[in-house]
Amino acid sequence: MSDEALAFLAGRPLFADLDPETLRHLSDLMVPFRLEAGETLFVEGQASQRMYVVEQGRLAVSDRLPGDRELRMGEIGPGGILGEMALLRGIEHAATAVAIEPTTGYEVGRHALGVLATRSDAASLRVARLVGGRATALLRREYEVLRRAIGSAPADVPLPLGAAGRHPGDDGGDELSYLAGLPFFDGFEREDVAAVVEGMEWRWADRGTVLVAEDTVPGALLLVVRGAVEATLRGDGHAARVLLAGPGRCAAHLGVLDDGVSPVVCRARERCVLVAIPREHVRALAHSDRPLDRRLVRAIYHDVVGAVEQAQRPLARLAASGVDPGTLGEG
Amino acid sequence: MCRLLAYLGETVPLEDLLYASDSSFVHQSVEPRLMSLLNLGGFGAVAWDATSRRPDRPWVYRTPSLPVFDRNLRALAHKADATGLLAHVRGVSYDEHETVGAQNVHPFHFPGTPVAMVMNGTLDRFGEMRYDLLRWIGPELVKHIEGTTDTEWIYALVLSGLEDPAAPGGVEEVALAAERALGILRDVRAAHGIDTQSPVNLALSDGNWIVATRFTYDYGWYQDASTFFGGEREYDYTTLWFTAGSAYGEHDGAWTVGGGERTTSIVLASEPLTVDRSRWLEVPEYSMLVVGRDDGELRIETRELGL
Repeated sequence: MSDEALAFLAGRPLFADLDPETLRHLSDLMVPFRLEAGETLFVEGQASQRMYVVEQGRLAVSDRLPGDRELRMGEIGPGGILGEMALLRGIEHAATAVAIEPTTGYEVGRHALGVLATRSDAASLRVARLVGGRATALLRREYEVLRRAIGSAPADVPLPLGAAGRHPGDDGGDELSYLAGLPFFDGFEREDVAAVVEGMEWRWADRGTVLVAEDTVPGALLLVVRGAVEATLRGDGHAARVLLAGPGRCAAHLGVLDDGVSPVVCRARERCVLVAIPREHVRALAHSDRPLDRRLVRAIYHDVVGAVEQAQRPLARLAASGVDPGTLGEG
Repeated sequence: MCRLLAYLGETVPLEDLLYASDSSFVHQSVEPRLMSLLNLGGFGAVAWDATSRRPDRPWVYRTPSLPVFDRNLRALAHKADATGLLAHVRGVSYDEHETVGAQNVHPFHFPGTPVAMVMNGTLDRFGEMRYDLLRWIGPELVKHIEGTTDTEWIYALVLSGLEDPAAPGGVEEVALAAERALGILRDVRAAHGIDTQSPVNLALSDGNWIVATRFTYDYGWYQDASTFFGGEREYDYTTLWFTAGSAYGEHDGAWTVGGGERTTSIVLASEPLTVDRSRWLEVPEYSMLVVGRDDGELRIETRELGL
């Protein structure tokens, strides 16, 4: 890659905090791409294989809907970044990107973090944190768009739920083997899982229990071991579930991973067994050099991408039903 | 576990719904994309054709054979049209205790009622709770139960919630009856201390409307990590998708509903009929989809099930 291109990348906000060595490792993996006006960069539903950084030109991003309809998501111009979540998790493109003028830029394959890790695990982790932070910001933005669509003012929309089910009881003692088999701990050895959860608080919640209230700062990231937690946006007489976290998924991302408050109410949709990863602990992980902490950071960001995917589902439904969910800004 | 398909809308060749697309319903019997088991327990369909003689009566096809090898089905689908359809490929666990036979093939459609039903789901430990349901099922319906599946009992339970199963009051009455049935099942499960994950994705129709549920009792409480739901990972909450627009068919090389102002057709399925899922929407978890007709157009409503 040319020094010119390396300098271009160094000037992008996403990469501005990377040290020169990490940036050089990353830029070594990047190759240029070029599109003429009308050419497609990627199609919604295809496996996401690359992250793209736009140098010049402009792309239109849209979400296809049933009945040959389309939701215009916005435009991406110079400095814009697309497909970055593929670096954290194998996902499908949630939208289609088409060049609306001649466009150039650089792309890097989805296995870049793994390749980077063979050269420098620290560099790989720095990129993962950057992309994970961007995914967290996207999650907050998706929730904001939905909240505008259903009504901006938080309202006391009741969340009807039947009587609480049987209490789960004290069944946390033999949960470790089960825990190790959950998606969150993919690639972790059993002893690693034990080390991660050691000293963390196990919680049991009945159906309907509010775990995180809207507009508060959650005290912990909630990892669901059994049962399910839902996150709901409420406003102007409507409610929209934006996340259903079953076993091996997390809830209460926002406010733990970033500096804002939780825009959603999180509550037990089923009776639950949870592991609460304290907010301070999650924040400290960002600065830890321990290999296990690095893996935990990656697991958390992997989960955030899943939350983003879920957040995009009600957006599409709203658009399909004729409700204008607004236009997403440039990423 | 199974795969279900429901259709309501403009006249469409049955072949288009069952065979045409790259992840067609018949193909899902041997290569489902959103679940790990094959569906080897049989195939069934009821289809209504508003242009046919006696349009209120569907034709019915049920066989415990695999649909991918079924020449009769292929020939029938090549000829017949439908304006409404319920179809099902039955999946059963690979276990000698399962009963595979014609009496357990969906859709269920008792004599004397226009309502038919399919289910993608399973009630864990159903054998322990089965006969408790007799309290809510009328004797005139119980006598029609022939098989051993939980679905047939749930079907009878839903019908029992109708004032007159022979002449239901319409889609709203059936929607209420379905929700009532789910509530009864929750209570009976609780009475038996049954608290493990049990999905109940139903689709009911009489050819003029569809009521469908995407619902799971005790989601996230697997019997055991090594059992079916624990192994499903991404799709451990049993899936249900739909696409709606104008006529279903091949549009610009893609099998989908058409565009336009009016919504006249809906396809509802356990998983999309195409590998490309971008033209499909997921039915939300814990919800009911109610599809009725209003002045020639379909009215589609999603309702949260607060059970």
